[in-house]
Amino acid sequence: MSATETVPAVEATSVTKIFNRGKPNEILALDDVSVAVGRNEFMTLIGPSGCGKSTLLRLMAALTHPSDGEISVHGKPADQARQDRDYGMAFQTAGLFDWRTVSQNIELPLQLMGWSKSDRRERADEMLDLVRLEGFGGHYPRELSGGMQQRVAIARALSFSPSILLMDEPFGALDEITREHMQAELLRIWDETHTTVVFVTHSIPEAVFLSERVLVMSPRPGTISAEVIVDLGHRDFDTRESEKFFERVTAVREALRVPEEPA
Amino acid sequence: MIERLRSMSPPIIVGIVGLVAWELVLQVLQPDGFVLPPPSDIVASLIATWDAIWIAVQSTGFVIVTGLLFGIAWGVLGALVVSWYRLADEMLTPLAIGVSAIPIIALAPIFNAWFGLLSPRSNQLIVVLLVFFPIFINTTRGLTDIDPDQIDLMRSYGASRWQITKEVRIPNAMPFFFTALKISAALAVIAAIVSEYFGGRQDALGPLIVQNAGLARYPDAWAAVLAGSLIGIGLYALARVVERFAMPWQTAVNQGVEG
Amino acid sequence: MTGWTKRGTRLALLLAALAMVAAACGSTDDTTTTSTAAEAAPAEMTDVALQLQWFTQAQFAGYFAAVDQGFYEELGLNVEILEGGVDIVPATVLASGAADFALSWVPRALVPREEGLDIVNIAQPFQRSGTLQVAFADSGIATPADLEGKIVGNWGFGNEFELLAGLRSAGLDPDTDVTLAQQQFDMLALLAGDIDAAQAMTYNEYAQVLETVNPDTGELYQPEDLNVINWSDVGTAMLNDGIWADAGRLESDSEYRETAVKFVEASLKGWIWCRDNPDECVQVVLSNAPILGQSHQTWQLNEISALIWPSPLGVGVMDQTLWDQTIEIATSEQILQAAPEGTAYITDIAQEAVDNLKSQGLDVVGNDWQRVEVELVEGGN
Repeated sequence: MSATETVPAVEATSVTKIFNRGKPNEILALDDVSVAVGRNEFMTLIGPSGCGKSTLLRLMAALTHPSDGEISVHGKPADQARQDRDYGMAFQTAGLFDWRTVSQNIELPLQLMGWSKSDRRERADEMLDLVRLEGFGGHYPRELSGGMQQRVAIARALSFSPSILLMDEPFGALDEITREHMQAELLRIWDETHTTVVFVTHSIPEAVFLSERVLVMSPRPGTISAEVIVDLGHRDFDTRESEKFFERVTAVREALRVPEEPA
Repeated sequence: MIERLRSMSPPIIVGIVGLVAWELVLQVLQPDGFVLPPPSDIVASLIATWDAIWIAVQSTGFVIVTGLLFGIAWGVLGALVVSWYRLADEMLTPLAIGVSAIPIIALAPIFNAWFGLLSPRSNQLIVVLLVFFPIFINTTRGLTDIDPDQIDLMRSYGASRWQITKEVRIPNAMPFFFTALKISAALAVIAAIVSEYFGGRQDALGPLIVQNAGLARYPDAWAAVLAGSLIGIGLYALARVVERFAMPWQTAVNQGVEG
Repeated sequence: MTGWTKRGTRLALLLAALAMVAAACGSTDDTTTTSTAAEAAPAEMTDVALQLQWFTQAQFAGYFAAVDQGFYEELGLNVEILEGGVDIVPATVLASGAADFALSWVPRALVPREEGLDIVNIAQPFQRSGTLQVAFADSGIATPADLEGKIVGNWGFGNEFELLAGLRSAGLDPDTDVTLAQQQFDMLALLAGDIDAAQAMTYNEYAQVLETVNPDTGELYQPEDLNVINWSDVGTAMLNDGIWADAGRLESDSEYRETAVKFVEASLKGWIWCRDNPDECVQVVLSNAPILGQSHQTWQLNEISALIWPSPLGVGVMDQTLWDQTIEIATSEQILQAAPEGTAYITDIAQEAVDNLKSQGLDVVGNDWQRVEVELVEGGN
């Protein structure tokens, strides 16, 4: 057990990503980035648009490959981890399939993995309970609000109990009130499932509220410019009004500020 | 059920009012332009010439239905091939769009010469060609115009190309396909009837319309037109039923559940 | 769907272009029907349009001759001849006002008349019908009853009424006992074997077969190679080409009636001239439609004359017995729903025209006319 505990859940080592290499529109998206995410950790990547945070997440998901450097998940190459179904993903648009009911959406990865019908149904019900959408299994995504759809997306992402959850601005399209509510829900789920979460966001308060460690990225080419530790302990609805919260938010904001050019 | 009737009633009422107005205007004014007879004359003619019309409906109907089925089959097959192979897309889709600009119906006399005057093949081919293009173009769009996040999601599950096609592309394409299907149903009727104007069997709706019109037997001509319209409406309704059956998620009422 | 709109627009443009070309073709006639040897023409000319019921050919020789010989011009008429076609129904053209007079087979005009077109027959040059149904001798088709279960070609649009009457008189239902096929105005479908029996006129399509080389023998087809059902023999023939006018206009417009008399008189004079000068008459026809073949038109004029002459009552004057016979067949074989209401034909105009011609010393009966032997050549040239 102790050996696995020292292996990070996700590790990026000196990762560089270049798009359209050799062509006139060549872009250096990530430049020598190294990140290590521990087991059960909730880590957030934050940065301005185009800084490469989504690219980094997709590299971790083995949806694309580094031009240089290495990604490993639980000590395995990312591709292997993908095949082993070690992680689930959630995006800004819930990406639910209109033509499947809520339950059927949650069951999708299980179906692809060959689970039996009854096993799938049982797991879907469990997940619905987890995200507090009991009774909505027979509805179609169209009938649900944005927040509810995101909850279904999360349920789907966790349905096969991945050890890692990769999330790319999942609450970006929601209004402020729903968003804060969903943040609390996500923390509760994280607490219950002991998943490692890598979370990408634009929102500073969201990053601070959700995670223990916030990695700040610089504008393109993306690098990790700062790391902000958020030691707020257990989060609840009062947390956002505390002085410590405000102070951590300021710390992140300052870390995001582009350094001024020397005069 | 009541809801459905209530939502259908405005068009039904407009239709009935329109028919009554048409009948009254022509009966009262009795204008000399008898090219458009009152509905009562048309229906009377339909009943009187029913035997000939029924034979024609079977003849033309056969061409319509077979042409529609083959056009749909080829259209869907073409769309699938083009969605799988980028090379096929680059080769075939511009060709398809180019060919679709040709007035297909104008080829009817040429097809008659190829296949022989009495063969239904020439008429069927016209129908197939006119049905193929909307089905092909729309279904291709539906198969390829996919939210990239959904594809990424499937890839993250390690889904195979076939699984992606089955679980994402095909269901996504269904609304596009059914839109094209409903258009094609109408086109198939038009295509079959007009292709019959250029020669062939005379026991079909096309000759009935054009020859009766030529002899000033306008109620008979319109009765044949009505028969053709009923075929078109019937096919459209059938398409709607199949659509409802195939896409149950479309009919789920949007009720904006709060949460 | 933008694709459909583009396609629909192109189709509409193509059809419009075709229509314009067709109209232009129809009107090229009047540039070629300039009259020769104009006598002292009256100062005021009346424009008259005549709608033929087919394409230009010797079937209408009398009218072209009347233009060519100045017969119309003598009487103050400037006649434009409108060619017909497969789907042109002369009666409806007449009723629409696009023509002042129209040539039409009697039943083919009576059907639209029954639907309300106000037209009337003012002269009947063709005493006899030349309609046939032709099959190959080895097809086994010799009588109407033999057509059962066969593919029977016809031109539709009212040309098929004698065939329908013939089928019904043989106890067959045209809708279910035979397959009726729309035939082009040639015999290719019969020669290709697409149809078992083809519609033909004695004076035209029948000869087209005899002008074609039989691939089996390398010689022209011979009359023995063909079986001919002649509706006159069967007894369901109905009157062919007659001259029709707008009935309402005749009653209300006295000038129109005057014009009608003159038109009929000059037209009949043209037919008489063609009877007496067949070779020159063929040349007149050819000058109006140069693509036609001389030998074929010579055959045609010969056969047409057989339908006209002799005319015991005087050419163009309707024989009531023949009219009644046509009506009897038409009503009993369900071509017409009932005998025509009101006055469907009048004889006074034709009678007046014939009297005028007699007073000019012309032979209006043609008892002495004889068929001549016409040799057919390949292609009818």
